[in-house]
Amino acid sequence: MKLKETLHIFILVVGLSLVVFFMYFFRFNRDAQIFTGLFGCIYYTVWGIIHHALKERLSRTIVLEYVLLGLVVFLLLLMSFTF
Amino acid sequence: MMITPTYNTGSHIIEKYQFLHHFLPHPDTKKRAKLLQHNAMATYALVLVLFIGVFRITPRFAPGILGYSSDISVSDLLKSTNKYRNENGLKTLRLNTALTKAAESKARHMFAQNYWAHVAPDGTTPWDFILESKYDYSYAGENLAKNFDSSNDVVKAWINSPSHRENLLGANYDEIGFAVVNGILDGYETTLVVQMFGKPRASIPIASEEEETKLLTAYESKSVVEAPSTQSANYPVLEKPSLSFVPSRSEEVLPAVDVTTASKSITLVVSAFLFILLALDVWYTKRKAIPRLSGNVFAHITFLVMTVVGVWFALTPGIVL
Repeated sequence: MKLKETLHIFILVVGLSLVVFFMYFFRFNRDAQIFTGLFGCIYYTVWGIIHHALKERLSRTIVLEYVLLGLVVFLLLLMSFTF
Repeated sequence: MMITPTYNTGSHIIEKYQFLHHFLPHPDTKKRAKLLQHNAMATYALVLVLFIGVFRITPRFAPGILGYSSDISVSDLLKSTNKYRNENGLKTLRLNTALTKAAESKARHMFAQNYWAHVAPDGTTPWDFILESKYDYSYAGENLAKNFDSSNDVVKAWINSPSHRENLLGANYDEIGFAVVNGILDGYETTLVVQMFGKPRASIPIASEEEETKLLTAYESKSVVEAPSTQSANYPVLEKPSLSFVPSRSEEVLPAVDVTTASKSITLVVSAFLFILLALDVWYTKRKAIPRLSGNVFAHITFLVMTVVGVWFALTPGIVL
């Protein structure tokens, strides 16, 4: 169980690290940065849903929690990268 | 009969100060802190949408309040460009007065007509500016940049873009001209950088070192530049040149609100706020052994930290064209 949890977190950290890398890689291409940020937020939301579904603890409240945090972070990125 | 208050000790103190549940989870309802609940998160999203709206609308009604701070100099741009060319085995480009004048005209035209493009909405091309400044060219090129805060970042961005790099490493070019002009574009106070490359049509001497030094001095002193023409007698297609002009002095831009700093600060404050609430959630939930079915707090914290890292290191307001 512990190993499974560690694996889930590892997948999350690797995915988000790649998102940060591509944001830096596209630092002179605004559209690509926004797209990368959007992808990162969707990746996080989907990760959260799958993570809880695999643990058989998925509920509507949990889905909403990931969707809302993903939305807040995407808006932060949008604000930063569109000016 | 004596009535003992229930909030005198331990966790009951919290019951007296209900507002603490805005920041701490509730042991009875087992819900997250009120400021982390769905309603609060939806409110943050709404506030951010409003911020984005304000950032978009402000420049229209109050041009010049928002902007991009910058400190770019022509001599640094020239040095960085030539350094990159030399590293790639190419010759040093000389600063030419006519190309500099063309670059100045282009930058001023963009501010006057409020556009950001190689070809103006009225159809004026970069070549029109070069020919207007009496530079008779066989090869010419143009690189543009805006919203950058340093000369080094401008050249780095051009190097990172294949089409701009092609211009920087153009083997056919002999001379170069720069304009670093401050102004208001789309309501934002900013600095436009225009880089123009050229090779004179006939085999005439390219700009001298003396001309280059004069030009660089003129940038600093804001004096009138007079320079010889590169026009060849063999190709008398242009009129006798008149090359006196005052190049824009590279001055530091400090807008009332620097958009980059404001964006980074808002991201940092919002993320830190959520981070603290989540950390308090972890601490209090463990302390009170509150069983709960909710999202993975460690994952939320990782996501927020990565967001701050991404914005802090990848946010460069500069755009090249």
